Amino acid sequence: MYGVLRRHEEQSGTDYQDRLFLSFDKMFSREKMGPLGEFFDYWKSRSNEHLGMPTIDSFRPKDEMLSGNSRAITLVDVTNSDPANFMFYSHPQYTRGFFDLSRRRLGDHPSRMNIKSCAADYLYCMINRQPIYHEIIQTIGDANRHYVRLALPVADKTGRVVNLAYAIRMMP
Amino acid sequence: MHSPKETVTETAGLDEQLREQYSLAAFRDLEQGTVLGRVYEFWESLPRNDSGLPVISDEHLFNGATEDSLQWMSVIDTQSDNPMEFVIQACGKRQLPEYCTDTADICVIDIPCLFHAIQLAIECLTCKHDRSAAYHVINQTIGGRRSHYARLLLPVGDAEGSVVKILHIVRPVRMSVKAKETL
Repeated sequence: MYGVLRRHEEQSGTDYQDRLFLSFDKMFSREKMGPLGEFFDYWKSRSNEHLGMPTIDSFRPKDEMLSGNSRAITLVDVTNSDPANFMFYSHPQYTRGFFDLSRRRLGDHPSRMNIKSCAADYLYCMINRQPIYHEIIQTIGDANRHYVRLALPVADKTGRVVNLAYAIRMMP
Repeated sequence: MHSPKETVTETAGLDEQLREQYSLAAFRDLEQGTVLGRVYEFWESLPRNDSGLPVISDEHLFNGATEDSLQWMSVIDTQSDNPMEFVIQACGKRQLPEYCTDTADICVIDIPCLFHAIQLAIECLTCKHDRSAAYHVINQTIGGRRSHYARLLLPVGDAEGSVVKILHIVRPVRMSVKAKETL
């Protein structure tokens, strides 16, 4: 498929997932007028010129984004060195049958497969200091999901990535 | 015949990798008598700390493991909480194609292929958290370099019960003559 930079397919017992890491050409062509496009535009508008991303005190999507999309943004504190201890401030987008991670650690998720994949994605985003855009098809337990996810890094004043903010859009 | 309990397939441009994790029961069956099987027996024979983890000093490791084993072994220092800062140290003089680099004594983040580095970091972190051995068979082509190997991760503790290093041992998987003839 055009725009796939990397494909990660995983099977663990009955759990399965296919994660497509997509280019930003793909993201813009799909999301430009939608909620993820709006979220990206907000992140870009708050980005610090030198850091290439917003600082934590200038990035308040839940307060400043006008549309209702802001309620669906998940914030992850990635200051802990161990990815299993990355902390979710809020996790409003969990869907029926999936696990609510609000005020929990990534390592608290019941699916080891999901913990490892999310940790890998978050590390990639932090190390590269770039947004990442994925299409994810997964079956965890009895629940199936097909969605796209846009994750955006946020730094502290020193430039260290301390938060990830992400939003998802369920695919039909 | 054993089936993997976890399978990861990754493709990125011309790079690709298949990482299959097998149970330790499968490991014992498949690796009996191989270098991985011998190092596992050595690891099992090590004295344990109060939390049940094997403990070994570098000196004891180099004296206890055979020359043949050491060439396939590296030690990953896992004292950092950040798995990208785990430090890889080769035990033998062999180059280390399984890390996609010829240099030893590097941090995981210094491995040239970031996707591979992150996969290794996550697998080592899982081994550290689980405090148990992990056995994978990995078939990868990264940067035009093909490697197919079985790999064993063995956690080692300190007196306080933390996992402070992981023994990383590989065995190249060679294509059988029969398989080559059918090509």
